[in-house]
Amino acid sequence: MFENLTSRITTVFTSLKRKGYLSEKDVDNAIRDIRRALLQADVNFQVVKEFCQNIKQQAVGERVYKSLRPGDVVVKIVHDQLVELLGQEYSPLKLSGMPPVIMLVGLQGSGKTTTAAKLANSLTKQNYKPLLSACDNRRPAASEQLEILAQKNQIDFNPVDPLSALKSAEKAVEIARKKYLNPVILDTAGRLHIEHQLMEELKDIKSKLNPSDILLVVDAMTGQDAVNLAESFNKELGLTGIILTKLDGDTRGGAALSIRQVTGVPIKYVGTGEKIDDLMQFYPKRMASRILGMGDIVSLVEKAQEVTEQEDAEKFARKLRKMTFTLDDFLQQLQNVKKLGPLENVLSMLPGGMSGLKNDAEISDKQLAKVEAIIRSMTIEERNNPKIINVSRKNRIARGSGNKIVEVTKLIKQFENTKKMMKKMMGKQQKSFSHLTKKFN
Amino acid sequence: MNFWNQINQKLSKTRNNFSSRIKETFSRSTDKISQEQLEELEEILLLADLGPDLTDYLISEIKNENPQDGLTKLQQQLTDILKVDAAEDVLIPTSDKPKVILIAGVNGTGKTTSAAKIAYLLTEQDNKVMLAAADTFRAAGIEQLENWAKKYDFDLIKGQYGGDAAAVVHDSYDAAHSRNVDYLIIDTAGRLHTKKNLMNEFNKIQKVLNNKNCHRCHNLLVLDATVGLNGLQQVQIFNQYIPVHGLIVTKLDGTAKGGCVFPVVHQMRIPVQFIGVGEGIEDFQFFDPEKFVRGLFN
Ligand SMILES: Nc1nc2c(ncn2[C@@H]2O[C@H](COP(=O)(O)OP(=O)(O)OP(=O)(O)O)[C@@H](O)[C@H]2O)c(=O)[nH]1
Ligand SMILES: Nc1nc2c(ncn2[C@@H]2O[C@H](COP(=O)(O)OP(=O)(O)O)[C@@H](O)[C@H]2O)c(=O)[nH]1
Ligand SMILES: [Mg+2]
Ligand SMILES: [Mg+2]
Repeated sequence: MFENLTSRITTVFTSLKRKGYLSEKDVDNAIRDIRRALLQADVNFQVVKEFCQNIKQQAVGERVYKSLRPGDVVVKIVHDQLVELLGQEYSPLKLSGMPPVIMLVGLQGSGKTTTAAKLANSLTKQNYKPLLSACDNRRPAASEQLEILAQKNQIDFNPVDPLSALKSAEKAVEIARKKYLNPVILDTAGRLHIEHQLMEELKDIKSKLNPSDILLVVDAMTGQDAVNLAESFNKELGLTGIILTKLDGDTRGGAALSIRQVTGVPIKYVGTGEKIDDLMQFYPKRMASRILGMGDIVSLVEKAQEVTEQEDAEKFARKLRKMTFTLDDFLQQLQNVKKLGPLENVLSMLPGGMSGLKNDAEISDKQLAKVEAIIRSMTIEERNNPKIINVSRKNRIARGSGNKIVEVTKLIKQFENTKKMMKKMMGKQQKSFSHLTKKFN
Repeated sequence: MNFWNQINQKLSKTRNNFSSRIKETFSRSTDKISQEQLEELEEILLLADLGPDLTDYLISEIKNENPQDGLTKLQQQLTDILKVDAAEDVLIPTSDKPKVILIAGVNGTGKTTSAAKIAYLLTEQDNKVMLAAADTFRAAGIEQLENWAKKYDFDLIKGQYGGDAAAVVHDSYDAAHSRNVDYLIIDTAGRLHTKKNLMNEFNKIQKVLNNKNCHRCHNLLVLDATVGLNGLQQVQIFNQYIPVHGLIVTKLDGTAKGGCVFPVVHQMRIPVQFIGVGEGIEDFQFFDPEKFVRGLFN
């Protein structure tokens, strides 16, 4: 019963597009559906209200009714509003000060400690020498948790002072100065935004150490309360950025829209898994396109570039766009895809309709290995033209790869279906969103 | 101080304090409930994470009432939704010891803390408990539970990092059995319900328990009160891998109302059994539907 926001909005848009003429009632109905979709996606009630009012205001303007393709106009209005909500550009860290101090804050269990380590790791790759500073003296084994992550990734670490978060932080800054480490990343204890005493602790650290970046770490699965907590933290501390975690699940991410809108603070990073590399810069326009069912091809290609040779990456991108890949390409890309991280993450970046694959096809990394074995047992000719694979060929392939015949058949069928589906998706999108894509890149 | 006073006090600090205003506006007129009143109730329900589907349904049920009856009926319906009988009483030990309680949920919801809290609760009732630290994945996940165990003198069996959670379950069950423990409480690693390979670990754990002739493991799923409608997906999918017998809603000491349990319980008929109201070992209570519903309107 729960479709995701993407498919819901896509449905709304498709039905709008079929009409050549839109009455005011059509627009109202569309807005009602969009309202529901947004609420279903955990976008804050107040934000939804405003959002829909804005759309309505713009939609009732002359241009919708006089336009030849009124549906397109509404689509564009909604899209522009979404990008507006999420913020326009990517917003990097400030990292100023001697040494720069980054303070991570947030509710209990939102992902601060994990994110601190991920952030340090990503800065290391940009030639910084960060210091991870444990400042959580409340949760049992919180300091050990950070220490383990630091050690595993060869990042400098300073343990917590069990008596004081402030002293822990001050000590870390002192060490960083001596050892020329920068920035210092403070992992603070989780706390509720209504606990004033605990907020004072953070304010103390802020006033003594003057962090250039104060980042609120928020669980992307948060519901309506996201707005309350973000507002409070922002009021007390003056946030400079937001990091959304656990986006690797099936959350529809309404919290992202709401928090950005209510606080005006930019979202800088998103967490997409429990591993150290599962941190990505946040690109508002891409997120909007993901919500609207256009997928996140841009991020996917970028990630592909990180792990593949330049030439390969371009080929991959081209084939992905044109949907011309054969089983052989598929096999080659499988190697790269493996490097992209868990398959679920990769699939979640594909266009809207594709996300269904995740559930239906039950693709797991183990199954990938099986797929690989099957394709490897095919001749080049068979890989390029699976149609020639008859029963006796299937038999051979099955034996060669140690699989059953039905599994070979299933793979070929799935491959063809996927190709067909992607072709359809891409075609549809290119048409419907052609007027938007320019804005996107 | 009684727990609900405590909660009410904590809740009243928040800016959405509806109670007196609502009571006032809803007692005034005897005519049919007005559009504005309906919208006000809709707002309360939506802001509490009940979601548009259930909210629409509940609102449509009262739209022909007068305001006071409408409000009463709404509260009644909300309470009724939550009144689901648990399949069994967690607090009654089984004859074949130990009774196993397994704690599961997505990342960071409060599983480890709840495991310690349950151990404490049961110990207070003169039971012999043992904890199994089966989160072999998250850094210091074992130490975290070990800390609680040391502090309150709970028995604990742990595994090795990167090791097999099912192996920890195996070892701890044997240990609990031979030490005549009443309750074995298993803390598992957080995992998103969408990660099939991680979810499959539960099958292995269950197999281990079945082989030990333990067929009545009580599985508790921990939901964070701040969660939005994704909570429903969490329960639905976890329930496909292990039968979820009860829910624990944590972090109700914050401003989130935990309203996502309404669609969850409404659809899944799985009762909420405990709630977490703080980080301390005693900040744990039995769930009370009436009080929970009152909390929505506070
Ligand atoms: N305010 C509040 N905090 C809680 C409550 N329950 C747990 N916490 C805190 O939430 C954070 C996460 O709790 P954990 O018990 O570590 O959660 P977990 O589900 O075991 O987390 P992972 O194993 O990392 O997935 C800790 O800082 C706890 O102290 C509660 O009821 N109220
Ligand atoms: N799936 C997933 N899990 C995450 C992500 N970020 C953090 N976690 C997990 O969430 C749980 C809580 O994270 P932790 O860093 O301890 O939170 P803290 O209490 O805010 O410091 C841990 O189990 C982490 O492994 C993420 O982006 N995706
Ligand atoms: Mg932490
Ligand atoms: Mg835990």
